[in-house]
Amino acid sequence: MSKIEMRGVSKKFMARREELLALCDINLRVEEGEFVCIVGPSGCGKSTIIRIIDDIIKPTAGVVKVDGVTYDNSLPIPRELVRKMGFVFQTSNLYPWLTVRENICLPLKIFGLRGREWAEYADFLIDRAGMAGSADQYPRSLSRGMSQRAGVVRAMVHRPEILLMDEPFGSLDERTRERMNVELLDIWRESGITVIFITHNISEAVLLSQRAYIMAIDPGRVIGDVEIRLKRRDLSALSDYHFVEYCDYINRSIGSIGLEKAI
Amino acid sequence: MSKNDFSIQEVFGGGLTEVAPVSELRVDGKKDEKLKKVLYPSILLAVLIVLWEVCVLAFGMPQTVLPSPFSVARALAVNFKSLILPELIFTLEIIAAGYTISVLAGFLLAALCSQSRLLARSAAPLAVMFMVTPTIILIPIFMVFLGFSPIVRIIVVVLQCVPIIMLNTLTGFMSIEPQQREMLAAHGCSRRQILTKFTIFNAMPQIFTGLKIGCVISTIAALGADFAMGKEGLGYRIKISSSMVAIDMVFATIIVAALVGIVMFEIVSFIERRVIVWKRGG
Repeated sequence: MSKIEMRGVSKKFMARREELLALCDINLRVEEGEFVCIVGPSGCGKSTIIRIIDDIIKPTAGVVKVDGVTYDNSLPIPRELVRKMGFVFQTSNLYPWLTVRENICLPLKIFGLRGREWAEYADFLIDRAGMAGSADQYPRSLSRGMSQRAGVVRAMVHRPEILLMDEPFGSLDERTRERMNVELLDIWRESGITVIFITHNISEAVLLSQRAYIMAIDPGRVIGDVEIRLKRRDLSALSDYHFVEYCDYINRSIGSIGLEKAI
Repeated sequence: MSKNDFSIQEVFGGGLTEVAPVSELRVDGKKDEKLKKVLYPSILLAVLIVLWEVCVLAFGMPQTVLPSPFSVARALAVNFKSLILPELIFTLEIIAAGYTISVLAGFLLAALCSQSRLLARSAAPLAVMFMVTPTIILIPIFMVFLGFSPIVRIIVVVLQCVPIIMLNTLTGFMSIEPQQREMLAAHGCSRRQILTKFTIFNAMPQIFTGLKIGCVISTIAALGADFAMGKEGLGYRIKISSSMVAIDMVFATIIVAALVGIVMFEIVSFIERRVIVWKRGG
């Protein structure tokens, strides 16, 4: 049984009294413990997909199945299922009135997870992320990279089984982004968590994921998926021949769709 | 070196032979800033007072037109206990009662309106209408029902003050960034959790803005009511002194009235700094 499954999912938005088809007939599967990237140009609906999975927005049509629970556009999903998911946003979204530690521990409060075990786990994650020194500061004193790191830790503090990441490192400089990517891979290997990672950066998608779904725009749709088998997943892979081939393949897939539309 | 250039030695006292740690410099800098905040306006005020005194002496202004600062200070010292203090206490009581009711009512109304878009859309224009209407003009109507009761003055303060506090608080409650809203949705937060863990804290800066403006407005409204209703209060003392051509006394009472507003404003600002600690950084 797949951890996440979407069948025939569509989403329409109303924009200036006109219906806008953001997603059209999306079908995808993510297996347990898999690291999947969804890659595509800006505005193709990548972020909408993970928002539908996390029940932040409802699909117009289609069925979503997460961890065996099926849901559609009617009722809110069960709280236990919400707890199984962690969400990392494009910006860190830390609340300025809470210290970094309080921000990180916020999901524990919301989900009512009390006790020493949880507090110790939060401390472990804070240490692991190298944030022990800044844990009692307010977010405004953090750099963008550190803020985003805190956002990732917050999404993991309640031990979710699924991590949904919406271009989390998109606003960071190249070197910080590379370092964060490597750290994320370490976390994924250690925890065995299922990850869906949204990006428009093809090399980032190839480096991180075991499988990448390729999306096109107008309307947002999946045009293919590619299984990525790299011998090693670290920064040295960037110069690997296969890595370049995968990037080229995805690039051509997205590019060909663009060309068709232009013609 | 141009006139505008200055060295760190000049800023921190000129005698630094060793470079102090950055943290110490920062603390010194903060103290320096605090001192400047008090010192500069005080110097300007002193200069204005001296200019005032010089003008009165130089142009031979009669005391009934423009009294000298010295005679205003004398009027204040001589009459404070016997004439100004009782009126001050009366006006303060009106302001305290009116402001407290306004804070509670403004906060409650904003909380209600934030829960219903329809209510917010209906109430906001009315609040704006009350905000821009000087409620002193309603005093004759209230007096028909309540006579010279101090309740009339409290109503005037409340009607003028509530819209300001309500609208600012409501703006705070409603100004949630879409991403922050999504963050709450991603955790499946309940309505109560959203209110207690997010909305109130998010609205704090706007709430305090409303409270600070409310201080000024409540003082103005109370003084206006004193003026219109007579008999008691600082406004009445200004009016009666003016009719007796005791201009030094008018100035003395104005100074006391201004101090009431300033002290109230500073108290709320102090509480704001203690509550909104995250704005101070670190």
